[in-house]
Amino acid sequence: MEESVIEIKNLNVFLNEVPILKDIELKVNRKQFLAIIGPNGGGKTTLLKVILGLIEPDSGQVKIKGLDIKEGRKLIGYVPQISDFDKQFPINVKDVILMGRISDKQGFFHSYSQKDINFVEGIMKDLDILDFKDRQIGRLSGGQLQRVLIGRALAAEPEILLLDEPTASLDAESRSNIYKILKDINDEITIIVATHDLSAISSYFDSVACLNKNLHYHGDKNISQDDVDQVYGCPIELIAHGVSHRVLGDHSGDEQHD
Amino acid sequence: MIEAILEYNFLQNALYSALMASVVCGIIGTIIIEKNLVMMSGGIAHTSFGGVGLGYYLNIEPIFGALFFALFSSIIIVTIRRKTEVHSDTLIGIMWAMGMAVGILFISFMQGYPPDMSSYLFGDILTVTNMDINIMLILVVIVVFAITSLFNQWKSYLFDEEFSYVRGLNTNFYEYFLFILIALTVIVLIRVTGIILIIALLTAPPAIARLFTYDFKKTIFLAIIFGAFFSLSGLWLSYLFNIPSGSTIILLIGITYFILAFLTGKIKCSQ
Repeated sequence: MEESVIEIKNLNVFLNEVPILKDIELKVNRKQFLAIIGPNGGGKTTLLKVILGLIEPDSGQVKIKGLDIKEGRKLIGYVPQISDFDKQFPINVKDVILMGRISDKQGFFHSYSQKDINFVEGIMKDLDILDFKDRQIGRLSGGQLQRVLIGRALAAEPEILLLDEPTASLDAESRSNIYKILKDINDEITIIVATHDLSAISSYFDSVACLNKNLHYHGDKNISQDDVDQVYGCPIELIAHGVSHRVLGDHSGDEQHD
Repeated sequence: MIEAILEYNFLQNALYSALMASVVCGIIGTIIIEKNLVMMSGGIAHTSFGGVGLGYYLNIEPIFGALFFALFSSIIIVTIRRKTEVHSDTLIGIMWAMGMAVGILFISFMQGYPPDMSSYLFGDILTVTNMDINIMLILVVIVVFAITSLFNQWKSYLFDEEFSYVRGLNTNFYEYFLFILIALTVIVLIRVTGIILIIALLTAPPAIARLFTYDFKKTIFLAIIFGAFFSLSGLWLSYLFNIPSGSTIILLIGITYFILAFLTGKIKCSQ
């Protein structure tokens, strides 16, 4: 029995009495690399925000390593969507990543220790962004900014990484670059990615969940055509995304089917 | 003018208040333009006019009434903003006008000749009293201490509220605290530029500073320097030509912003 780091039971979220998430059951094991796919508006971001305690669920239970959200989320590194950002904010790359070192522990007149700075520079080196550590964040490409946000999340030394659409609006090269980075990080850290980008699923993730109000998940990357049809409404949309069930199976080298 | 400053207490007070105003404008102004709270601050400023009216009516120092109204309205705005889905803009619009209305109502209740409100509306830095200076000093110390002592936390909160919340920062506290600081800043500025002109003094110095730097801390320092330079030169011009100080300062700083923005290419001529 593998150790589970996130356990969600019977989760329901309503917004103005419209159900956003319905009866969600999800168990994520340690060092899993999980993709949550689904159409826009399917509740992916909501689910992540519930796990982070940013949205209060109407019912259900979320445990992070057996802890309640308030304690458990300290183990989570959060990488929000870059589209939510004010890219004009007068701050440079290094200062953004240092923010990952902030927690509820610092008191008055806090300044970052040399240890913090060394740690953060190590992260920047790993992510290949050390060269522009003094650059204002609005002057980065999308892929660079995404790496900065991953760096900030890693600076908190998390055990779990949650990413919301990390490859939206990136070109193909930066996209595979981000997934390669995540794959490396996955050696140590559990990763959950919410995405509607289906192209990378086969080669990088080890499990896939489909979310459109309801969650379809079997603990591996084999999603049945039924699940996909239900989630996306119609199979044509899937073909337009360039992915089908067969492709998923082939790329993984794993031939077992449900 | 130097001899005049040494000789006349009212000029010394004007000088001190201009410098103190620049400090809070540099700090809070930078924060409100980054956080898109400019209109919110304008709303708090205008609501405080109700307090000025109340002060006159109850025969207490109008600035205490203004302080009370500014704090009260800022807390109400944050609370309503958090609890309901009313759009902030709508809320500000209503509070803005209601504050002014309350002020005018109180003034109309007064017996005899109504007081001259123009120094509160448009500022009159040359009539700043010793008492005003003391109040301003206390408020400036509170604002400076609040921001510098928690600077890294503020920066994280301002840059990304959700991330900070997940990391365990009490973002509720920071939001309420920020609005209280905006209210205090408004009170510091009332005697210098007046309620109506406050927004320009809050936004123009940081906006000019942003033309020259991409660093948060440097923006604040530059904004303080620009603010001090323009409010002192505005003060000097208004003394020299006997023109209203608030308007002089605002026009000077506003025109400078547009010229510099044009020269640095932030505002482009369409070809």
